[in-house]
Amino acid sequence: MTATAEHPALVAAARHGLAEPGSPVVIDAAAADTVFDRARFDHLTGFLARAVLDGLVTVEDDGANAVLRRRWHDELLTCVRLEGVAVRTAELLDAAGVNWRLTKGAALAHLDYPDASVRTFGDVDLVVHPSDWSEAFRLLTDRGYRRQTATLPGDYDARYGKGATLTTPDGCEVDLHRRFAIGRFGVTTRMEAVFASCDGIELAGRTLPVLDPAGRLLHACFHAALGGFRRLRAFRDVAQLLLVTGADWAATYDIARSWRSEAVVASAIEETWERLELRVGHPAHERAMSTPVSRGDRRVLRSFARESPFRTQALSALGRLPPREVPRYLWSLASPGLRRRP
Amino acid sequence: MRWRRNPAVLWRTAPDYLVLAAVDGRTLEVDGPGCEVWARLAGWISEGDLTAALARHYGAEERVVSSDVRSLLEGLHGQGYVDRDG
Repeated sequence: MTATAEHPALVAAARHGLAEPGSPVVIDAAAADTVFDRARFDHLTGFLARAVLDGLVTVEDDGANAVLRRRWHDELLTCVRLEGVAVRTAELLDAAGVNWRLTKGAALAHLDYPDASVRTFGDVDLVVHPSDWSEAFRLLTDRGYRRQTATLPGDYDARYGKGATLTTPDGCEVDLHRRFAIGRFGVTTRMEAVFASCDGIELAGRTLPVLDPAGRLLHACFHAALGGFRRLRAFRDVAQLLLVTGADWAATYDIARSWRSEAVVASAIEETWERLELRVGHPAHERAMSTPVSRGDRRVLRSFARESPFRTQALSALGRLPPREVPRYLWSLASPGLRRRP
Repeated sequence: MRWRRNPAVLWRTAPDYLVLAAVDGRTLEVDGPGCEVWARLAGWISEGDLTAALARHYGAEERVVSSDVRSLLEGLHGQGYVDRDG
């Protein structure tokens, strides 16, 4: 897949702790704002600040160093606010008996990173069991959570959709996932598989259910290969789960294969090694390198990597749908006037 | 007197920085040695032991540290971020 050029300081920060460090990288005063903006956009600020503290990255200007610390603190403030949202949302879902799991940001910060402060995030991500998703959505919208994008007519969302991004009454973002992707690699997913087991984290005295390590790795791979912000942090999460957490990557591949999405996992892991410039051997990487990826899968992976429009991504499902479902699928996408983001 | 974190508090630390939040959305940021205090409040700790540990950490005299620690703890307790026993 196409790699986006990143400032060497960001690469050094994103791989810090996973591999032998190279020579210290300098961020000169002229580049500092651009690098910090990029880090904030990618929620890499904590990694960058840690790399500076540990001497892997040097910021030439003291004023810029202070800016970096301030930005890290701002992101930490956001994280604890979001964890408050996660706990309040958990209270609502648990009271209604909804089967759900926390995933991505807060889950990884607490379970997969030795210092949760390094792994910052900008929203709350929940996966809801397919049989409970509509109930969860209704419950949260009744409590003032608002959907950011229009619902497609018909049953696209229920049958093929990725979920909904909601905004809480106090302006925080909650991603309510029903699948990890739309399109070719979404319509074949059977999300029940990631609900077979469960981890947990304790926040504010409450235990929140979390995807198990294999499920977290699967979601991280889908995000790294198909997500809208495929930048260094997404690949760091994949590497962290493999190299530090020791997630059961074979179980991740098993689920992916049953979803006809092995190419997604293989592509994410292969690109993780490439983007983070990892030289360490790992059986999951060896398997990724030897996984055959069909031309069709490769074409769709490239399309997602280019961040193609929603409709293009959604139409990539056509080859994977049973023929009798194709007209219904096309009809559900055909309504004019609605614009969706992947 | 003993002190500990309120288990219902959400928090993060960085060098010379501590941020606390309640589930209702209230937040408090503490600059300086707050993170070192917080690190020692994972379980109940007497104020004397806490002051002594911080004095050792910073190479300061206990009597210098003591009043600042008490002031910080009282402030955090007043907002529900730490529990007090005794």
